Amino acid sequence: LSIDDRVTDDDRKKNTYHFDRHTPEYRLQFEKITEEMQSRCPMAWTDTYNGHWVAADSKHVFELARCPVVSNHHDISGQTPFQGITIPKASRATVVRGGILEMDEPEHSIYRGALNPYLSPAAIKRWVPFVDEITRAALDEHIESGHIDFVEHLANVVPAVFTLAMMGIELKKWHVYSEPTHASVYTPEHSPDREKINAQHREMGIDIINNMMEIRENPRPGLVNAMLQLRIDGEPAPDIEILGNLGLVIGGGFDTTTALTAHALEWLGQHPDERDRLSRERASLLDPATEEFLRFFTPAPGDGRTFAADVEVAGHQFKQYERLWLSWAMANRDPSVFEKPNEIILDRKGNRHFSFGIGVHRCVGSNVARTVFKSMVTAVLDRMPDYVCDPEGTVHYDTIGVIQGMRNLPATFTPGKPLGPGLDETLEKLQRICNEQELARPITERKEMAVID
Amino acid sequence: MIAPESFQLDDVDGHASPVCEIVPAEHQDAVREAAQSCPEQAIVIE
Repeated sequence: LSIDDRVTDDDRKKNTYHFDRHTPEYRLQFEKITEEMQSRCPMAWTDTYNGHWVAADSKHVFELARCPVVSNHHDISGQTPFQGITIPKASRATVVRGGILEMDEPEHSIYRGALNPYLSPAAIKRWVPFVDEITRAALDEHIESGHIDFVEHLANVVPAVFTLAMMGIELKKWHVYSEPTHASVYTPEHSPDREKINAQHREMGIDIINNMMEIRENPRPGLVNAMLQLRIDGEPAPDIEILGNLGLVIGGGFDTTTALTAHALEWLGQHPDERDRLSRERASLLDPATEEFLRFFTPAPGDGRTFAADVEVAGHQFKQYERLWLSWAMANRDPSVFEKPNEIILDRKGNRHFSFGIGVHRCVGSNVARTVFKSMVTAVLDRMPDYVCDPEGTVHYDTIGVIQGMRNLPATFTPGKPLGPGLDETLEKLQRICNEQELARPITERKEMAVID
Repeated sequence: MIAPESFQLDDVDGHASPVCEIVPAEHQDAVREAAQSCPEQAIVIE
């Protein structure tokens, strides 16, 4: 398709909207901005960040996300205008592209094919007892005190430990990975804390590279090994692409599930009747409620793209190299798909939400997210059923441009008795179990459930 | 899964496929709900 020259830029970009998702105003006025963009545009041109398109409704997001001309590729050399999935380009993402999320076909499917047997629903199901044991230990650290910070002490811990387990990295290193991954999302570039976080980020990068070298010498199961064993036309994958994919697993595995869990626990604390109902009717309600929390809170609110060629999609014309923001978060509030889109309805039907993305780049870790989320929420419902969150101590991220997350969610509850040892001792035990049972093997090599002895 | 009796997931890549062509009457509501809930709109009922 070529674009008719008679269609001027003014015509194509007549629906303009000043859209800046990195401002606190976007977070505070999200529903109003979403309604305005969906009723007035919904395919909008914004002048921010050198100008780019914004798809704000479900129809355009759906069609564009599945359009093969809409590219995820990130040219690190800067020789071509493909800038990957961040708008604007992240200052720290200048040496490595973001794994499969910044690749197009056929390259994308080659790497994704190597990750799938570790992350498929059947592969993740094997880990459920393991995940529940991390959750148990995280709660036991605080159960006797009657106080917990659901972000710091639970939702930051379980996704991080489990992600490292799947990768084949030592569990006790979880804080080396967790702190910089979490903090680099919420800390502004100009913050005085930035240098400290960048240093922690470098330490994490070095640890990943050390793991790659160790596992190359002495293979042990996990996602690191999957990337090292991958062959493309008979050749190993370049180290820089392996690093990018491992970085993506960490970035995707950590802060997103943390954000989802924290928001859901905050909302359930504000709606104790719904919390009790979810606990009582979990056999039928937990699955739809999980999808509804995913829809409503959309931890990863969108992704950038680049048009690889001139194209017409859903009646709208786009030109080569123009940039595009696909807003999963706004599509999730489209009233043409979701009745009462700004309400949480735990048993919502027909919930075809956009929170894992759409098309070939649909989140490869969606089953990890669901499994870890359900483990944490059900354990809190069982062991701290009367928790009350402290609004004074609750800290949301200032902006929701990258992750719609939280820094703190302190709560009090009726103290209880621990069911087992604390976190450090438990991680030692789980490390032994991981090694003995080789839990991090792909589903093609190991089908049995983890056994926690 | 909304209709676990009517779809199977591939162990390796997680892709869903129908277990049979004709859906028994007792599972039809669940399959309709699955079709309405599929984010990729990949389920077609004929």
